Amino acid sequence: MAQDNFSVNKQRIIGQIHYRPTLTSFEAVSKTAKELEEKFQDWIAPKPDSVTLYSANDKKYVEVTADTITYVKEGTQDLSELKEFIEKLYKKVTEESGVVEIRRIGFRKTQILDTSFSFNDLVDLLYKKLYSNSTEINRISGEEIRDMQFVLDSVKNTFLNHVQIGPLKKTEIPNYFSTKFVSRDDMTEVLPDQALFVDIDVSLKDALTTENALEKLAAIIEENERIGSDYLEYLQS
Amino acid sequence: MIIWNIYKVNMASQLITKQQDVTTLDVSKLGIKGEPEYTNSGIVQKPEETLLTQSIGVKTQEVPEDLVISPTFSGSYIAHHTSILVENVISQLAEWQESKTEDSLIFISNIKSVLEENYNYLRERSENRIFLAYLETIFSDQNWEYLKSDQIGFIKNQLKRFKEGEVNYTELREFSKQLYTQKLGIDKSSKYESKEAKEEK
Repeated sequence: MAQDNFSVNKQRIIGQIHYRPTLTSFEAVSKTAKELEEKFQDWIAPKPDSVTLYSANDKKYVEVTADTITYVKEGTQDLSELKEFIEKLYKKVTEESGVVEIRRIGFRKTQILDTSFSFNDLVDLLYKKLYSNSTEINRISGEEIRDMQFVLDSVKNTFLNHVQIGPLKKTEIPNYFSTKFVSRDDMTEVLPDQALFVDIDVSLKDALTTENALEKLAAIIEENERIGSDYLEYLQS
Repeated sequence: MIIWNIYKVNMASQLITKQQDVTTLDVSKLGIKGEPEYTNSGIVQKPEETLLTQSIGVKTQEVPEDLVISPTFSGSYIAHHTSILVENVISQLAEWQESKTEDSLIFISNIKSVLEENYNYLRERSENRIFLAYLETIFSDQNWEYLKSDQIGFIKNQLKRFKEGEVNYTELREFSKQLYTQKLGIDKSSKYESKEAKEEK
């Protein structure tokens, strides 16, 4: 019985494939990035083995280095584009740069969620839902719960996951969502008085091959989405 | 738990004695011995004893201080918990109606748990506190055992109306009195039996 007490104010998605570099992959960074040049407004190359294609208007960028392919987007998420862009660059890297060892694949979603609940309501809700032994905690040190944060590092369905959930006051939001596209002063104008912070990072490090990497990326994204929606449903039930 | 029970008793007695935004209190129907001290202008009346308090063994008392509550939670948060309570109680009642015997205590236990979990949220608003007290009265002291099938339907309907802001407190008060009369009555056959249990006889 899910309710709609939370809505997305800000969010960021990050998809990444990390592989063992080769000399060719080091040399071919710009050539690899060129595959997507036309999809972005501009590019920047701070060093020879790092090229970033970015579109400030769309708040997204793709970074290619000797050992990583990373897609980042803020605002509305576009998982299809994430998969499409990473796949294109990945195939270039594996086919032409001799990459054979995949070290890590991950997908992270960070959200600031609007809510009509006050900050105290959020603290009360999260504490009751996410701290299992609140009675004992109350006895020891928690007569009045003023703030809390939930952090969990675990394994589920063979995926590694790192979950962070907590209530935020307006002044805290920039510390938890450091946008790469708007200045800090601009951010304070659109921030809610309080919000729910949800940060979920799902990854795999083992049993990765060049053949299964893209399939694993899709599965990781799906697992991340499931964890996020399940937590929200649980908090609202 | 003891403190909660005393509070529950106080709330139950307040149902009969304390009128806030509800209709006129008919003293004669309640069988109150003493003269009401005030007119029905929203001021608490002080009977010596009522039917409910007689059986519970606790006399009507002054409004406890903890009933005067400073707002802790926002309106939307209270609405959120109210909605959870209503949906849960309705679904548990529906399950209980479908069960084979009147001894399906798990559903009653679940209802009591839901009432207790959401107690702190609902008690912040006067209309919620009154409604919560009615439910607590019905689902305590085995009062629920005397509910007939149509009466369960009445409770479910009142829950839905409460959620929509249209609950009728007069009807609820009369219902509580009726239920209590059933429980005190000599006729034990008024005890609830599911449809299936009756068919098996």
